[in-house]
Amino acid sequence: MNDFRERVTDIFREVFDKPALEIFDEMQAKDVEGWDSLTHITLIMALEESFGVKFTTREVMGFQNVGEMLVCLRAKLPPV
Amino acid sequence: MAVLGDVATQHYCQALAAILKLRGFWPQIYEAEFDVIRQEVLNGRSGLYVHRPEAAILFHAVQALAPRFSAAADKLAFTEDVAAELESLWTRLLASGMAVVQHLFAIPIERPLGNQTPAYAESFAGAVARLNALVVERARPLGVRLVDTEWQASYFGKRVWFDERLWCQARQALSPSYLPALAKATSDVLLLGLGTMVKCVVVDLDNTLWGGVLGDDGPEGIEIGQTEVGLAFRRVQEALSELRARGVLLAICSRNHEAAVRSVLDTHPDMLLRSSDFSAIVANYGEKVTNLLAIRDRLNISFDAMVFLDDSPFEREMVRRALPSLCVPDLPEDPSSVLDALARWGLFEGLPATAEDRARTRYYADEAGRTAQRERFEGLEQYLADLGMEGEVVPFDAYTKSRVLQLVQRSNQFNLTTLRYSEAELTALAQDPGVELLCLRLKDRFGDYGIISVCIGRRNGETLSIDSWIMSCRVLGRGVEELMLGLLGGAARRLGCRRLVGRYIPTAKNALVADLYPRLGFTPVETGCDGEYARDVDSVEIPAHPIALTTPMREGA
Repeated sequence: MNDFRERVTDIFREVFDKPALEIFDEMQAKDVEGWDSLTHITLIMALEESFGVKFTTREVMGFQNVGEMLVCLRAKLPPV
Repeated sequence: MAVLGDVATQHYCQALAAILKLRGFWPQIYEAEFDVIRQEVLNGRSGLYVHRPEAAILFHAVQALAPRFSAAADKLAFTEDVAAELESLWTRLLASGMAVVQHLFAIPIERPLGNQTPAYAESFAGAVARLNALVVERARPLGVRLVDTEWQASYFGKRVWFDERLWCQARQALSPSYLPALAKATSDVLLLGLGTMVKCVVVDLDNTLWGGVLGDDGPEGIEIGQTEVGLAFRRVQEALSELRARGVLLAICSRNHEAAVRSVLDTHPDMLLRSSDFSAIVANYGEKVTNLLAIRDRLNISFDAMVFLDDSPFEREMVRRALPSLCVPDLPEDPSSVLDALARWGLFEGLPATAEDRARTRYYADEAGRTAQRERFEGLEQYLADLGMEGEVVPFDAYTKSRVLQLVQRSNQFNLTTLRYSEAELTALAQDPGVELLCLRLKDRFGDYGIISVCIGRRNGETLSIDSWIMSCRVLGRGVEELMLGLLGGAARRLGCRRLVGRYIPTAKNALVADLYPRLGFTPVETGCDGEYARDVDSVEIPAHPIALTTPMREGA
C-alpha cells in the first residue's frame, strides 16, 4: 500500500511540477497551487495511464478530495 | 499566433508550442477563452486584435456543432449556414492581415441510418461530410489553410481518437494520445511557405524502389509489379509518382551502374517510374554523401528541402551524420509498410504545382542534364567507346521509306533547312544519279535506334550542295554528325565534287544546329546566300571512332 501511495505521490509531483509535494486524504484542489480544471484532467489521465485503469465520468465528477480518488483508484486495481 | 476554439485548447496550445519549438520556431500564442470565437473575431477591440497575431487558428470541433445541428429546423440549410458563418469569420480575419488556419471537422461516428448515413444530409454525419466539402471549396479562393482533422481522426481510428468522456468532462475534442499528431499537422500548415517545404525526394534503388539488387539479380531478377513483394514496391512507386505530379522533384542516389539503372528504368515492363521522371540520376559506386552533394548542386536545392529514402540503416546513419539538415526517415523494413509511413510522416505539406512550378521542374531537369554532360565530359570518349556503336548506311527503299519520310517531314530541331519532301519527291531524288540520299542507321549495346539521320546532297558542277541534313535528337553528342560529314565527303568524291556547301535556314525550332557547319570546319561563303558554308572535300574523312561503319562505303575511286 505504501508503494501505491508513493506512485501516486510521484504522479502528483510531476503533474503539478512540485518535487516536494506531499499528498493527504483531505487534500483538495484549493490546497495545491495550479490545480485547475486543466491540470485536473492531466492528473486523471496520468493516473489512468500509469495504473492502466479508466475512471467513469461519474467517478471523476464525484471525487471530493484526494482520499476519495485514491479509494476509487485502489478498488480498480487487482488485490495485492 | 492566436488559437480560437469552441473546445478546450490548453493542451492543444502546449503541444503546438512544443512542436513549433522543436522545429526551430518560438511562437507567441494568444489563446482565446473557451468558446468565444465569434466575439473575439467580430469585436475589433478584443484581445485577438490587441495581440495582432500573424496567424489565427480556428479550432471548431464537431462535438460543439452537434447541439446546433439537432436544434436546426432546416437540416439541409445547416451546412450552408455554418459554412457561411465560417467564411464571414475568415473574411474579417483576413481583412486585418492575418493568415487563417481552419480545422476541418472530424466526421462523427454516429450513424442513425446505418450504412446509408453518409448519403443523407439530414443525418449529422452526412451534414458534416457536406460541410467539410463546402469549407474546402470556400477556403481555397480565399487562401485559408486547412488542417485535415478528419484525416487525423480516420488515420488513428475514430473509436479511439474521439474520447467521449473527455469531451463531457473537459470539452476535449480528441484523446490526448493523438494531440501531438494533430499539433504536428497544424504546425505543417503554419510553416507552409516558410521555406521548410520538401521540394525533392532522393531515393535509393535496390530494395527501396524495387525488390532485390539490380547488380546481382539482373533486370529480370528484381521484383517490381508482378510478385507480392514487387507489388509493394510498385505501390511505393505510385506514391512517388503522385508526388512528382504535384511538383516534388525525384532524384536517384544509388550504388549501381548508371547505364544499367537507366536501362532497367526505361525498359522494364513493370517499372512505373522511368528515367525521365527523375530530375537527377546519380548511380555509381562512390559514397552516398558525395553523391547527395552532387544532387544538391545539380538541382540547386538545399538539404533541408530534401528527403532521402534508403532501406539500409547503415547508409541512413552515415548520411544523417554527414548531412544533419537532410531528412532521412527510418524506412520500414517491409516495403508494404512504406505507404503508411509516408502518410504518417506528413513530410509533403504543400499546395499543388502551379504552371510556374512545372516550368521550374523542367528547368531543373534541363539543367541537371547539362550538368551531367559537363561532369561526364572527361570520361566521354571512353563512355562513347564503351557503347560499341555501329553505323550502317542503308538504301532508301520500301523498308526504310516510311522512317525516312517521317524524319524529313517531322524533324524540327536537328534540321538544317527544314525542306519537307513528299514521298514522290524523295523517290525521284533517290533515283537521280546527281543526288546522294544518305540514310544512316545506328546501333549500340543498348539497342537498335533505327534510321537516325538523313542527308541529301545534290551535285552542282564541282560542288556537292547539302540540300537537307536531318538527325534524331536522341543521338546528339555521339559523333553521328562527324560520321555523316565523312559520308558526305565520300559521296562528293564519288560524284566528282571538290567542295561541300551547306546551308542553315533558321526556324523557330532549329537553333540547335545554327553553328553546326562552323563546328564541322566549314567557313561562311562570302558571295553566296545568307547562311551558306563551304568546306573542301580533300580534308574530309570518315572518322574511325566512336562509331564503327559496318557497310563499306561505295567510294568511287
